[in-house]
Amino acid sequence: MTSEELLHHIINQRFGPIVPVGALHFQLSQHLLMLWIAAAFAILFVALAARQRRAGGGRIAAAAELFILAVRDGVVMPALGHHYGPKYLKFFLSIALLILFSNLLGLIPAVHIGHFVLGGTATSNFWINLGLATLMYVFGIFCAIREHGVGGYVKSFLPHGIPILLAPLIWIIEFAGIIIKHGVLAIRLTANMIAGHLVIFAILGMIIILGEMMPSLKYAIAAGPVLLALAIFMLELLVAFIQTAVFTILSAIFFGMAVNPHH
Amino acid sequence: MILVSKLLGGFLAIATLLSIPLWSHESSTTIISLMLLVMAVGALAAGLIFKGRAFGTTGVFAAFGLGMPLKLLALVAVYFHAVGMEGSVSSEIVFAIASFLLFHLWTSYLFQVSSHALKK
Repeated sequence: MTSEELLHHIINQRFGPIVPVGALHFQLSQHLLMLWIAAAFAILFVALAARQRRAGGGRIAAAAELFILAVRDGVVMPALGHHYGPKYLKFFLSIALLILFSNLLGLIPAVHIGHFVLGGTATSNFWINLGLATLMYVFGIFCAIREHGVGGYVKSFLPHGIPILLAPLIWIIEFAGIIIKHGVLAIRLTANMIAGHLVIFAILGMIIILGEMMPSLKYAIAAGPVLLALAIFMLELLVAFIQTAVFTILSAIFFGMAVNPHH
Repeated sequence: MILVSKLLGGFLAIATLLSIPLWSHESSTTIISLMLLVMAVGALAAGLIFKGRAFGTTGVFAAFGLGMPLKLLALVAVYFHAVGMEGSVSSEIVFAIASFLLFHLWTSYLFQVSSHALKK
């Protein structure tokens, strides 16, 4: 049962009718639902922070302030500089907050309602992460063109003093490199969110295997894997924050390379 | 290096020709073949046009550089071919983007009113 609980977090359950719109087929899924629930909790968090701030302050307002300062001073300003940083800060705050809440919600055990499983890690879904990474990529191009024009953006890929014959090759490699980097962003987040659950799954599976080998000692044997699984769970908690930071820092660096190439 | 460019180009050209019969059956194979073709043409052209040693090296890299975006497309095509474009896949990408944009519209206002840091 425990193993099912763990796997339900990373296995996506699809439900509802498939709605075809042109070449695309839309259908709801467990991970999409969890993304929306994470978004709702995140909005609630910031709304409560705003209310507390109007009332003179409080713990949630202080936590929100800490989060904003960490993203601003630790991620956005170093990556984008003081000219572009404040302009795009809220975009990176939003992406960091959504990923953090999705990661943290994934650590809460799933609830079974009949055949339906409510729970799961939205950020363990590669397609959701790819959607977010694609958005970061497209937004980066859009803002770079808005700031520097099409010509400026195209030139930003080429280092100064490059031979004219090499320029098209370097441009293609650099352009493909940016696409790959954003794809890797999605893969990294997905892999890290899945890995922790699989490790806990494997460790708890040891109880069943060792219990069958030594039935008389099964309760004593369980203590070790449970403590180990607890330790991994604490590590997962840390990973939820670390991966939020990694996604936000790297996407801010890629965004900064597009919008502020000379920084 | 010029010789390497030509050999590479020749090898890729043969690989492309051999894969032609599969084109109509597999879209991913078509893209991979196109990739090989572009690389072959790039390598051959670079080897033939540029006579200097440095330009020969450039030719090999140019061939791979031109092939790379198509290689990416091929990888995506192979993946979709393997798993099939199931309902939830496309909707998850689109919904994730739409959800985030809506989320951002809401939170950007809330961040503004909830923080001292953003007032500065």
